[in-house]
Formats: sequence, C-alpha cells, structure tokens
Amino acid sequence: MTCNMTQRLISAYVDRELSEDERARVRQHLALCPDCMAVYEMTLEVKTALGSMAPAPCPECLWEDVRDRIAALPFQIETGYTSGFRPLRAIWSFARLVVPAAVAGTIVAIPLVHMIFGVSLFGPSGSRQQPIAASTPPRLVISAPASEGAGFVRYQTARMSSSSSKQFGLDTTLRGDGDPSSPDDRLGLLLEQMQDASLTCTWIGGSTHE
Amino acid sequence: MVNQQALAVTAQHLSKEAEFESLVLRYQNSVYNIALRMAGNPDEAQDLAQEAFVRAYRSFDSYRRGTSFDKWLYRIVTNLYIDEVRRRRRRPYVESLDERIMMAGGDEIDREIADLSHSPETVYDREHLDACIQSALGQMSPDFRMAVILCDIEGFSYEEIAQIMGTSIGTVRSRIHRGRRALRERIAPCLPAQSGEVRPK
Repeated sequence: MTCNMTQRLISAYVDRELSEDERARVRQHLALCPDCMAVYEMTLEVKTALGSMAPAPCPECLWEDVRDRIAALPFQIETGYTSGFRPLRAIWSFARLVVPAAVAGTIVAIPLVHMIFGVSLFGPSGSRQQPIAASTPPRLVISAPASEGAGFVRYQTARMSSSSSKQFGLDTTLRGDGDPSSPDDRLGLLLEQMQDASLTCTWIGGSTHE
Repeated sequence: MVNQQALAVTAQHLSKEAEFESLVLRYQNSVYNIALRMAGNPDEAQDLAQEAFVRAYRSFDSYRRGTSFDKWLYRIVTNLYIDEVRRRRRRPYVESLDERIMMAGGDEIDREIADLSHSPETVYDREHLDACIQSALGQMSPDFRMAVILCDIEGFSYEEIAQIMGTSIGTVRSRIHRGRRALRERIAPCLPAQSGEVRPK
C-alpha cells in the first residue's frame, strides 16, 4: 500500500470505519512508515481536540422563543379525521403502489398470453386464434338465395368487436356469376381482404338478376 | 353543546405540543452545540437552532414515531444551515477587518483580532484551542464542516452521518477525510504537541 492510499484511509482508520482487510493493510503500512505514522497521530489529535471542545451551554431562552413562535403559528382544526389514520391518504398511497404495478403487469401479460395460449385479448371475448384455411375464411358468413344465371349480391362488412359486431357501413356490390358459393375473382379478393383485416361479412340483400 | 370533534383535535394538538416540548428540551443542547460549531457565533447559532425547531414543529406530523428523532432533527439543522449559506453566498456580506467599529454612543474603537497561529504561551489554553478549532472549522466548506462535527463532536458513525446528510457513506468518508486534512494543517500550530511540521506526502 502506498503512502497516498494509506493517508486517504487514515481518517476512516481513526474512526474505525474500515473493513478488517483495509484496517490490517493500513496498520501494516503505519508500522513501517514514520511519515504516515505522523499523519495518523496528527489526525488522532485533531479528532481528540474536536471531541474535547467545551460544550457550549444552550441559552435558556431557546425553548421559550421556540414556544412563542410555535404559538404564533396558525392553529388549524381539521374538520375531517381526528385520528392519525386518513383514509384518502391511505387509498392514495395504496393506489400509488398498486396502479403502476398493475399497468406494468398488463403490458407484460398481453403479449405473453397472446404468444403462449394464442388467445387474442382484443378480439371477441375468449376467442382463440384458429388456423385459417386458405379456401374458406372462418368468420365469413355468406348466405344468399339460390340463384340462377348472372346477377349481383350486396354485402355489408362489419368488424367483429368482442361479442357484438359493429357495422361500419361499407356497402359493397359485387357482380359475379350469381353463385355466391363459387365466388368470382372480385369476391375472392374481398374475402381475402376481409380475412386479413379480421372483417366479417354478412349478406344483407340483393338480386339474382340485374 | 361542546363540539366533540373540536375538543378531540384540541386535545391532540396539546398533546403534540407537550410531546414536542419534551423532545426540544431533551435535544436543545446538542442542536445548539452543532449550530454553534457550524455558524461560529452564538447569535447565529441561536437563530439557527430556533429556526430548526420551528421547522421541525411544522413538519412534526411527518416525523415517524419510533425512529430516531435526533437524526431527523439534525438533518433539518444541516439542510437549514446549508441553504442559509447558499442564500448568503448570493448576497455576500463583506466587512473589513481594518475598519473601526462604531459604538452606540458615537465612539469608535479598534478591532482586536486574536492571532491564533502564534503566541505559544496562549495556545495551550483550552479556550484558545477551541477558538482555533472554531476558526479552522469556519474556513471549511459547510458540507465538510458538518460531516466532521457530526463525527467528532456528536460521535455519529459514517452510516448515521450519511442518513443525516442524505448522502452515501462513500461521500461521508471523503468529506471527513478532506475536512480533517484541512483541519490538520490549520490546527497544528495551536496544538500543544506542535507537530505542525508534518505534511502529508
């Protein structure tokens, strides 16, 4: 240990605030170094001199002055609770701890649940993501009267939101061969789009003939 | 009809005052002593101690019963003094030591300033040594001064000082080390052992 390092630790050594290891190393150095030993003795003397300073008697008027100033402070009677327990404060301190924890937990849990169980927490309640077959979109319901020949069908798309469907008024008229069970290309395209955008489609009317 | 609630609050207020009074009477000596060592003169020390107690009373409700009242109180003293020093630095008060002092009756007198670093006949005197230490303390920065006072005069551990001053133990260790190093140099001539020649490498 160098003199510089030792002298930096001497104050803490005098105060017995060093670890056993540091203490042993300082002691070892002091035994061999008269300069550091002199600094140690001087530090000890300073500490002793400060500790033996004559305590100054407190002026007797101190408490009296404090009491007068306290008495002059506005005395407020709280109309609320007289006991130390304050429900609003208690609720606030509880909420202050719990709310951020709950928000953080939710943020972490949503992607985890989604990833592990495949449950979409933003879809219809309790809905589980199903593997979607390429040919038949699962959430698409098309019902149309049996038709013969060319015609058109009108569809209205709706976004599924939890248990209820919210229509957003996209009114699409499709022209095809009049047979909804074998849709033409445009119908096929719409079905694909709806599948991608989690849309559902319900037939609301139409005519088999123009 | 007596308002029961107001009566209960008043009783609580009185019991708070009584509790506070007993704590002030118990700790006023050490608070005053710390204030004196920090401020360096009795008038300022009395103002500092008084202000600290008034502030303590104002926030007495936030003091957690069962925890150490003295540390809580000394923390108020520390913050108060350090704030005061910062405030004063912004509005420095400078007084020339060569200027004569004007007395109330219109007379003028010379200042008599003790030369604390010389006259070996007097430095052995306890009073002069105390004045020498006080003067040396006054030349240190308030942070170092408070750390040394709490350690050497009040006998707190580094951990307790860290709690009072709101810093880490490492900072306390550094402040005490640097504070004592400055004191060593300034007090050395006043000490009976006259080991003032020692200088750290």
